[in-house]
Amino acid sequence: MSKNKIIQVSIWLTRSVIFLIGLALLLFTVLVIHWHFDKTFYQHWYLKNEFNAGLDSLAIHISGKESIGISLSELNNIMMYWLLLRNVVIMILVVIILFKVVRFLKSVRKVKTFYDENIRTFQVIARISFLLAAISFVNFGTVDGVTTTHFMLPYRPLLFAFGALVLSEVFKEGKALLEDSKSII
Amino acid sequence: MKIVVTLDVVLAQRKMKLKDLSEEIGISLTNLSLLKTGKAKGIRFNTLSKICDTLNCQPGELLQFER
Repeated sequence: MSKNKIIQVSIWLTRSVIFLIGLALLLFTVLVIHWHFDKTFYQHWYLKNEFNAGLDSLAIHISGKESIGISLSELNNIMMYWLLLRNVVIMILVVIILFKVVRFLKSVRKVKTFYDENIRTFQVIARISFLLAAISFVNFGTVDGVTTTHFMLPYRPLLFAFGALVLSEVFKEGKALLEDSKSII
Repeated sequence: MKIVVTLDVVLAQRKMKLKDLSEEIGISLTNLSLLKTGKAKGIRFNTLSKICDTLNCQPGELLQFER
């Protein structure tokens, strides 16, 4: 596969993921609105990870029998809106990162890889990833008057942030080498 | 300490214009101008060979070392 095809496929895949995240966000918002009017409908829908910290706290599974996790019908309004808000913020940040990735891939396609814009792109990705790590560090939930707070080290966004920072330094080095190469006649 | 490019001197001796040299060796006028004014960071052996061949000179005639 040629370089351009790989990049084209990568751009297409990234855009697909952005679309799927948007769709998931929309579905979850519709679910919350419906839940608001008919909570009993969700008595067999379970929040698998309860209120665990981390990025994947919104794992819902549907089971006909009693299952592990908290039933969505047991949640109060505040907790449901907290879930919505937390996951909307996380998903928006992930989407911003993915848009930056698409922008970077487009610059590679145009053979403008080692430029200031890409160095800034990776720095922004690193900052957003650190923010994601900070947001997903803690989560809490109150069910039947019992409040639980969960903490975890969000290693995935942290590793991603460090990776992006390292790449921004690599691109700085690349830019310097490109400038050197251009000034040799 | 620096390397000084004396391309302008050799060109004047050969009564040749930079534009003509550029067309002869296939290197842009902008790049040759950068080389002539000492703004280039380096010169490839390939470029040096082409210039020497066209101007019928030695590399030492084009480059000087100044303390």
